[in-house]
Amino acid sequence: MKVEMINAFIKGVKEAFRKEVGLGLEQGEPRVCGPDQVVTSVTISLGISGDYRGVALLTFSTATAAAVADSMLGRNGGPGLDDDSFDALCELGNMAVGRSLQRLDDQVLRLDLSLPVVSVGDKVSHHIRNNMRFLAIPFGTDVGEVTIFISIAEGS
Amino acid sequence: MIPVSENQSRTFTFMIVDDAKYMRAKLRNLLEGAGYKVVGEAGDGAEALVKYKELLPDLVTMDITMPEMSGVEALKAIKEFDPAAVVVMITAMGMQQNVAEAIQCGSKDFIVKPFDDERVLGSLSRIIRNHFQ
Repeated sequence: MKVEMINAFIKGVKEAFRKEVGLGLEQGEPRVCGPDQVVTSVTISLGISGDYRGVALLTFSTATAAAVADSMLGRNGGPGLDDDSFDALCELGNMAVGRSLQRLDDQVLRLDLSLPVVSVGDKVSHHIRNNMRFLAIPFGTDVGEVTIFISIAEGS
Repeated sequence: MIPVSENQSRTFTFMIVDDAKYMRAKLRNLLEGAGYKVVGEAGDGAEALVKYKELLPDLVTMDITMPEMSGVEALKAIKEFDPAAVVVMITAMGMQQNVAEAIQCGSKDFIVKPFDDERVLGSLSRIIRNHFQ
């Protein structure tokens, strides 16, 4: 994966969280891993197609997901994760990955995003194949860790 | 917040089209806070077309990536039904290709999420000034 792409995702995710959640993100150390190391409780999955193909997964612990969603929804200690939370988190994932891909726009002609899909639990199946290699970029926040997993290759 | 234009002689009506309830609520709050009237919402492009014909809003805000019918397809269908329809795309998909396609199909502006409130209200004020006054 090209450095420009990694930087695009770091900046895109940070921008989406700052603008939409009002949350600053501190980037941790990126690592490469397989799908079995995608450890999560709540995952927003987005398929990417066009000049690049692959998947982006925005992952949270349950508590962090609830805190992020509550902040977006203007709720103070809401009812925990409910349909409104998942709806807001999907939109956040959409904006974070969309912003990231937009930063690649001068390098590519066409990129499309699938509708976001939310998964709860440690088994993430949407858009995932066993042979995928992911770049994992963790971010620290005041409400816990957020990690984006990206697996993208040039499209055929 | 940018207020509704002072020389406006009527309240302009909006329809919000977005598959995310969160975003529809956010846009409704923003528009109503600025003095506009939101007369309807739709969660996908197909519903947007049906509701547009029924409600005939002055302006439509339209997401692109949605189930059933995309925002660009809905834009084309609405413009076919009403060539004078005023539609603004508000989407997370801000790549050049998306912008060009939407503008070519008749969108009056293209706003990328996450957006600044001033960017949205400024765009709508300009469009209202150019098209209705």
